[in-house]
Amino acid sequence: MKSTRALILVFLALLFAWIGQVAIGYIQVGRLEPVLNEETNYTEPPVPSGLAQTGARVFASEGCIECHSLSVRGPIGSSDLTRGWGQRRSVPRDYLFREPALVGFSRIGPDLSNIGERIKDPAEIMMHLYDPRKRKPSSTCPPHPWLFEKRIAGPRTENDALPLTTINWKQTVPSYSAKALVAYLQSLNLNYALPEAPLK
Amino acid sequence: MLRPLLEGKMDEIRRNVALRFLSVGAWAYASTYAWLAFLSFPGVRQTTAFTMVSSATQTLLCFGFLGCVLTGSIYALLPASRNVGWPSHPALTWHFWCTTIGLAITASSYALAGIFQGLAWSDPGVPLSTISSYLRPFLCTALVGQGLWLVGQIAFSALFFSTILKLFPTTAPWAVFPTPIANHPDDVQEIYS
Repeated sequence: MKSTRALILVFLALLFAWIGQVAIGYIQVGRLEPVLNEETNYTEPPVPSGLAQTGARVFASEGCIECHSLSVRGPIGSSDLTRGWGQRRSVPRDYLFREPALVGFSRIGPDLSNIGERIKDPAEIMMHLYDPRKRKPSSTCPPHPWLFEKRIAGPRTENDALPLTTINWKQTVPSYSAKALVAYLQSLNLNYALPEAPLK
Repeated sequence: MLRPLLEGKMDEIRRNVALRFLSVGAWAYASTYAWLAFLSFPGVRQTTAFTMVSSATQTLLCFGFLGCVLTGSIYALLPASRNVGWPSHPALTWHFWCTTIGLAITASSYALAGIFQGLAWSDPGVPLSTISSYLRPFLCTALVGQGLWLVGQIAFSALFFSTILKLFPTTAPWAVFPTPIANHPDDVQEIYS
């Protein structure tokens, strides 16, 4: 009799946990769909390019998520909007086309939800990846030189070579992973309004 | 073996290293959920989201609960299953105290770091580099804690491999200290009565 009661209690505990974690979550966000922008005839959130989707995997594999979140919080109890990290808070619909949907769990550096809007020049992001302190001396972001290749330069450096002094005729050129990562970072943009999160 | 733990017989727990680890694991488990309950308050959650409090939780749960319970189980089960004992009492003591103190220092450093980090994040006037410099002392303390933890694990590895390979004679067959520890004069009377 006692064991039956204990089993019922365990079952109820698991049931409540499942309802709280799975069922309520599914009811809240499980059926979200993109919104059609009637002016541009594009869906919002926008579908990222294939290169950007590859870049999301580079972002995950490089461990950027250890220090950067991808979620702007609302005005209550946080200073994310005041710091200029976005024009509005992030909502679950923003992650519909993000695979993997990286939200983040820790912040040492700034939030990157809106980095595509904040830094529009891809060369600047590329330089930051190669050596963050060249772009911003107080940065604590580690450099990622393994995302770049040293190649012999011809009479002229390649178009996408970093603006660094060539040593022994070698130029620094971003690899495919670096290009994908920059494409992903540029796709992170919260400059569209959603019904549940209008722009300021 | 678990009866002293369930009945709260502290002397037996103190003498038995396996029970010591299991009791630390139980405390870590309870502390993790008390900590999570504290973090779930809306005001606290808003302040501590995306901070190092998650590292404190992970430390308590993975190293505190899981690590200590697994270690306690190894201390309890290995002598029975392989018919061997442990070669050194001091190494047992070093392992226990370094692990426990290292765990406490690491988890509390991360927790305090997270709270300070959250408070600093809430103030838009504090730049990111300043927040990083606020965290440095806490991270250094956490490093000391992890160093202690490492010393404990080295002691455990030495014990484990020397036991498996039977390198030294057994001095502690069941990871139990030979004499009860007396903390109070009444204990002495009770032990020797």
